[in-house]
Amino acid sequence: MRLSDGDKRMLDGSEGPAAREAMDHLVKLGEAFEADELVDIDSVHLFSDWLLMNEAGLRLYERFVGLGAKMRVHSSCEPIGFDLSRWQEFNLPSEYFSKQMQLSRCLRQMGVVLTYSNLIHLTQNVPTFGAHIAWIEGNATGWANSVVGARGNRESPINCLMAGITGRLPKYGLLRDENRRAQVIVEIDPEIIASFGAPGSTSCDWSSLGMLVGDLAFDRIPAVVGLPRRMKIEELKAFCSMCSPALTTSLILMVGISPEAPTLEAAFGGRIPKDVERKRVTLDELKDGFAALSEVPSTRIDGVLTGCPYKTVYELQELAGMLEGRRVKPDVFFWVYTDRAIWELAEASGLRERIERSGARLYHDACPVMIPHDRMFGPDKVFAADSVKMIRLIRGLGKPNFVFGSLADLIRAAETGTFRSTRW
Amino acid sequence: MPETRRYTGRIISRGKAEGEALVTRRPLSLMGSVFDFTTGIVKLGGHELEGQSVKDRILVYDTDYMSTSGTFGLLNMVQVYGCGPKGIIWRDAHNICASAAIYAGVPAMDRLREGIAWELIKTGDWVRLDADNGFIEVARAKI
Repeated sequence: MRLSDGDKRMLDGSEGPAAREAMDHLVKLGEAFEADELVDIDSVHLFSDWLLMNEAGLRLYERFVGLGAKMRVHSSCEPIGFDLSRWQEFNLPSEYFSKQMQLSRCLRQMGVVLTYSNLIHLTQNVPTFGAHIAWIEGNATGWANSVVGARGNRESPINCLMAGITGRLPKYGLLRDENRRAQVIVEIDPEIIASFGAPGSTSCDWSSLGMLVGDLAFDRIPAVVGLPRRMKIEELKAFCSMCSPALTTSLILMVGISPEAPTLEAAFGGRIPKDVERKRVTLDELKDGFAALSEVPSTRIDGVLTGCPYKTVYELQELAGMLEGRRVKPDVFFWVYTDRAIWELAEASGLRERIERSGARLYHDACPVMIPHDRMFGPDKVFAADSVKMIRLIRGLGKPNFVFGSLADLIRAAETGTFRSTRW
Repeated sequence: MPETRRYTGRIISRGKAEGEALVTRRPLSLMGSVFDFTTGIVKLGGHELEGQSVKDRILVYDTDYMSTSGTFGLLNMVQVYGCGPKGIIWRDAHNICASAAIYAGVPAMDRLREGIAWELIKTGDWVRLDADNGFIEVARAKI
């Protein structure tokens, strides 16, 4: 691998011990993945939370703080398990809060902007076409690559840290042109798109469609045909959120939408290979996939979780309207998630008050995937959610039961304590 | 003497290790919610390795999927809880665990030239992984 003079200076320790160790890791990474060189990066997005990082994550960050590490590029970080201004409402295990504060202090000392957000691509770490990014977070890298045409793998949290310290990353995976071409065609049945658009159904509909596309493509880049020419931010957000956990790659070439796929031919770099695999998603498959996300068709519920990925301010407007005059049952919780920037906007616009008047709670900083469900709730709780990403990622955590439905069905369930899906 | 076969592949993380293979043809996630990184036991519901421990094994699986936090699963096992695998072989490495193997010094390879790792190696085989020189030796377990 060719190293620039700057890379060599970092590697020989001229720029301090943090840059030396970080560059040493990046060179090994580049050699493993057969990169020819390292490239400058524009921004990093790092992990933050205690539950998933645990002691090894804290040691990693503390080690680099001790070496004097500072971010050289724009930075942001992932949500944590609780809302920092309302943490008492979370019933956290005792060591959880202090361990989280130790991690947060490390991030602050390294100069990481404490966004605690998975929606940074729409708020505080906005990617541009061709930008090189080193980000964790499947929905954000999915958006950056697929909607904007930025370049970056869903990068490991270690690599993101080292990239932030050096401003460099091996040019591998989705940073290389030749690795950004479609490998399979997935056609969406027009019936599916025609059936979309019911009130409060954006997240459940588009994330379940994303799941089917992702499960078909898995580790190949799909060229998706049959999407509407114009898609709302919230539709794209839900669809691309399935870059993880369904796909292992972070690029969905949405023909007619993705900048690198104005046509199907362009998605393949000019010519569609004769032997390319073609898959089709039908409405029946979508309905089956949708239904399978609920463990039972109808059940009592303990709580509603919505806002994965975080809600946009327009989704909060929609939610405030849908909750108008409604009342969440006292023994049911209704947790809504967004980031701090959007939360402040919701507060200033009166949306927070309108949402919480119903008994729902609007949280920032927090992500339900990062709370210790087993210790907070136990295995008998039943949650209702409208995000496939959330359900797939939480399912292991204390193994709570899930039902999946539209936001309209979630609200009805919160009012009555009983969930029944009316979407299909 | 059992028959020993030799395969070559791509070096992901340098070093040498040997041990008994634990093999799955499926992708795996070492994310804290579906994997107990304090004991090394797979919790992923319905996965063919559910309930099995990766501790001291040569772990062979397809690739990493689900949360990027799987990185910390491997890091915690190896650096904190002492229950990590001795080495890893993937069909195709994902940077999620490749990076943790590199950082924590777990020998690892992928893309065996002779075929797919999870077809060439069976659970119970004795595997010698030489990720300094890019080859593995597999002794078939007695059936």
